[in-house]
Amino acid sequence: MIRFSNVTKEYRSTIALDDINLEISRDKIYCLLGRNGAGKTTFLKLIAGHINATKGHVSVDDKKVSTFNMPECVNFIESRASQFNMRIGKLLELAYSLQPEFDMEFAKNMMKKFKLDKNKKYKQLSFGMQTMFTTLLSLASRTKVVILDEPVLGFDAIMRERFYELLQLSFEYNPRIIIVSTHLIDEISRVAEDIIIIDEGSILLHSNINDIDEKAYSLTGPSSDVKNAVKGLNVIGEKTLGGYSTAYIFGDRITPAENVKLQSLGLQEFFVNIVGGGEDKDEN
Amino acid sequence: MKTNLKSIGAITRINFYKTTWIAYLAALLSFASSIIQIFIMYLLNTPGSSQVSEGNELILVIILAAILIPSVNFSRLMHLNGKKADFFWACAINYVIFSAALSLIILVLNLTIDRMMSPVVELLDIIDIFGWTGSGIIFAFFRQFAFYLLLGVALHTLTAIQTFWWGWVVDLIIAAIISVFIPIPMLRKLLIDFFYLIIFNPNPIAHIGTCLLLAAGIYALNIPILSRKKI
Repeated sequence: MIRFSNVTKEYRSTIALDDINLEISRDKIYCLLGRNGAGKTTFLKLIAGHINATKGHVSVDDKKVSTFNMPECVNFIESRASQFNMRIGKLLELAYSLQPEFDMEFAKNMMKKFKLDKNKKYKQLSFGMQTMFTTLLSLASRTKVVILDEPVLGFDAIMRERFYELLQLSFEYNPRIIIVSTHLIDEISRVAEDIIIIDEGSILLHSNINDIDEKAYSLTGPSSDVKNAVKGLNVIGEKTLGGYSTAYIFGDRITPAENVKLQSLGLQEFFVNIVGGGEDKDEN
Repeated sequence: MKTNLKSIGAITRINFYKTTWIAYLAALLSFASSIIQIFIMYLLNTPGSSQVSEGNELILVIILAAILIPSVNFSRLMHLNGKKADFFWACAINYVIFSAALSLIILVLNLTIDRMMSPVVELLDIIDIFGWTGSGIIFAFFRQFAFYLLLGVALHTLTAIQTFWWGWVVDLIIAAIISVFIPIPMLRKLLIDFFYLIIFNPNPIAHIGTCLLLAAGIYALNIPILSRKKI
């Protein structure tokens, strides 16, 4: 359904996305991960046709996407986008008028559930509630693809729980492709099925979360034993402290030697290592 | 470009009050200050005094709206997943209604307050200066309508291209045309002929036709402009 074919996006001398090839076809919740400035928002904007690719092309439903040809089946409201400062009840009605596929009943129910006062003006809402409102606007559309760019930004722990509940409810009610860009990896992994990791403009990984649970692990033990154990394995990060080392692996599990301990990796730890933040050697 | 009537209606309504209230306020203040000045001059009863007609101040509405709608409302509507094609048609409706309403109000003011004040205060109204009242009230309405529509869509288009680098080039070209054409007699004549065609044209039908054709042509440029516009 969504296909990136050799897509490069440059902003003057900066390469935001570099020769990306990717296919997203099944109805699932996808989690888009990446460090700040990795190219996540550019990736999302290209799907929605908000910007054009410098090279290659993005297609949705086999139709090439561009600012000239924005796909109607994609809903993308940027979380920090400026909105009309009107009562949010009115803003909801406006969104309903603008989008033929907008589900007003779902939106109203969610407004009640999240205690969003329809008489409050948009700018009277806290930053978190503004984000919640724009997220709700996106989820209430019945489009085949919904894109949420950092939807939990500014949320406290309770709001985040409610958001994941809303996401789950929305998907159960209307299964489709939902792409969520976030930094809170472990939390989103409870609802997302697939993970796409972008780093420095390239796709590092597109995998099922269960596969990552299965294949991401660490080996800890005396440095020399760990060095022997990781031979031929896909090492994504290393830590050395004193005579002991931890190697982070992504691949088939092995049965290590007795003095080398194998442990499953949390998603957060996996992410930190795969994007290159896990190298920390102490040669003392 | 696929369109949706419900969405076009919603965008048209929004464009009439969101952000454009600034245009109404500016025009209203300008109108009020002008009318106060005229009444003071009328009360002082100084024969031979002149003043710009209060109705002309209302043209600020279409000038400011044509700047505010593409620069502020466009991105906000797109951030609610509005469609570019719907925005295109909705704005066209906005400018047609703005032009018709302005034309009617200015005409009514010209025929009432301006006439009432004329023995004491000479009110300079563009519809008299440009000779638009010469062919009767009906033509005066349509001449104004066509001209305000041309003014509105030209400003809308110019504002819409300011986000592109070539939009600034167009600004420079317009400024260059005016500054280069004025000192050179042959080119100055071209400039005069153009303004003659869209403003001082003695033939009302030719005047209305030229303005409407130009307005349609300039507004059509918004199709490729909107297509390339990033959000």
